[in-house]
Amino acid sequence: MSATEKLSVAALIGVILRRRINRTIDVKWLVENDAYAREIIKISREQKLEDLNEYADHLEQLISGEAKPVVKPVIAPVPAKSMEETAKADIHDWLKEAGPEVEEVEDDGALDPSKYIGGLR
Amino acid sequence: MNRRKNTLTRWLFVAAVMLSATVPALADTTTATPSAVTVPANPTPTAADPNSPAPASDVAATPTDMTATPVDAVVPPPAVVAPVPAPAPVVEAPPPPPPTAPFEVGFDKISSGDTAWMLTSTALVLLMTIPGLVLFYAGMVRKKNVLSTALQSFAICCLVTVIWVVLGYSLAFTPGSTPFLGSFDRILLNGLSYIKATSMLSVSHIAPTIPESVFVMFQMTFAIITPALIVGAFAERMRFTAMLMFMSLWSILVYAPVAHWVWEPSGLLASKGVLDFAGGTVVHINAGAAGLVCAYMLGPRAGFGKVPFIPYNLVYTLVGASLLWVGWFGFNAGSAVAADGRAGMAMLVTQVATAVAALTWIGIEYFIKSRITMLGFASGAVAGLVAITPASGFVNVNGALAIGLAAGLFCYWGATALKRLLGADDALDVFGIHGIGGLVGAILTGVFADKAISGVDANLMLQTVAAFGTLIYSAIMTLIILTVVNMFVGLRIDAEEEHDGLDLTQHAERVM
Repeated sequence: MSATEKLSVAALIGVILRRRINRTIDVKWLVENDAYAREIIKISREQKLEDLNEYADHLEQLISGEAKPVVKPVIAPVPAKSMEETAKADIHDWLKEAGPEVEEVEDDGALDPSKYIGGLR
Repeated sequence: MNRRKNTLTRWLFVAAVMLSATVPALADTTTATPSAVTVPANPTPTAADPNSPAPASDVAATPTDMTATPVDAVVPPPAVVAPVPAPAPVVEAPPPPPPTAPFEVGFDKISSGDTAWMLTSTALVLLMTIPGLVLFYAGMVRKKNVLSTALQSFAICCLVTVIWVVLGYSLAFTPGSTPFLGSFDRILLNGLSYIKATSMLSVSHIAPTIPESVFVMFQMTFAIITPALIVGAFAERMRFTAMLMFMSLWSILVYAPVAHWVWEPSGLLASKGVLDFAGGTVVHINAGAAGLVCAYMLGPRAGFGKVPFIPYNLVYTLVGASLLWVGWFGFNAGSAVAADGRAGMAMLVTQVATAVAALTWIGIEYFIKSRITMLGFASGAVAGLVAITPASGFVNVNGALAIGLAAGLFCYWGATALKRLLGADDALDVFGIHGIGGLVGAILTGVFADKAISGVDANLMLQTVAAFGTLIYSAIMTLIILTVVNMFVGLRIDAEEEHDGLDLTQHAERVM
């Protein structure tokens, strides 16, 4: 099981929960505490959202040690070395560094989705 | 008869004593001891040529001319000699030809007013690069590339300083054997002098009222900011060592020749009458064209056009734009190379065009996007500053209003629709703003130049040919230089490094 993979799935669950039901979760604590993670998985499944269910399933497998390949690529492939380094950073820095895809997920709730794509102005 | 002769002699004596007491006081601009100085004939400044980027001072000329007259040869004022019959006409020798190369003068030929303003302008133009451009660009890139973007401009400042004193100044601002390039006479600033013992110092033939050291410094700041502008085009993906190599070669092979063409009176374009007061062609078209070629050569950043590239902090960008605006007064008004009325006009039209361009930009933005953005305001202001640059010593306020309007309109198009049309990832719109703004300003200088200010008639066709000629030269040379650098060190970082960001991979530092 990769801690980085766990962190990435947890971050995406956090983003979807915030956006869809306006619920904020502690992503960092979710990675560290399995009990908290299971509670979040339960909440996620209650929303009956397809993408959220997929992430919840994946996170559960990661927690129980039954990791399998990601069903749907959630972020662009990232070099292992880079991810190892970034896993040490706190979640906010990680979200910025992990690549533009994550930044988009993080920020487009506040910005026009087309803003800053293909040009600044 | 004898009595009249005695009266005349007495009047002449009184007048001579009065003037000998007055003239040194007016001329005392340095620590020189005038009686100990061998003052050469007052050179007719080449800068008096209205095509020159260094127009003659309309203030400093008076004390300079007065000091040029030897004290013991002073002629009494007309009122004093009025009662005397007119002397026989004296055939005066024709004035010596204006100097065409740097030369030495006495300290008393230096205008303290001009020198003070040029020292100030030099600091203002340097302020445009560090920290103006540093902040302007750093605010617009992603967090993982902020330090590298800022550092690139800072490094260019150091690099070009050395190149300029070793070679660049000589190639740009001395007359050469051809109109294409200057000579090697001033390599390592050989010949630049300041000798306290003899009260002599060297001046440039382009700016004869200020020390050559000040002129070298002033022009150096232009040589620094021009390549630093290009950084915005290849931001977030160029290898640092490749950037240093490229900038070194570009300064020597592109900037110095183009500066020579436009600003050295014997240069290719200046001798034809092309007008570029402060660098629309030399700085902005030149940098814009190079930026566009860099963007094509390096290719787009990973994810360009698919995902948003969130700017790190646009407050930095606004602060940077503000510093650029203030520094631009040194850029444009300083290009008068004198503390005079023309510098004042240049400052006035700079302010007006900038404000109009910013308002035009946000007006278009509001019309198209129903929003007014801070980045739009900053971009419009810079567009106006760019476009008024070549025209600043030639146009009146009406011209400034028109140029500001055109700059806002065309640069907005350049940074949006034209950018999409060209398909290059010009990251921070160097071509869209500096390239297009420079072209707009250079061409409209041919339309709005006011003969009352500049004393010359502009030629629209000539301006257009010069602007596009420079664009093509810069683009071709940039392509060649990039190809050579790519062969040696490789221009672009690899995908993994790009993902991690230049701050970590190139400099082992990061913004927290």
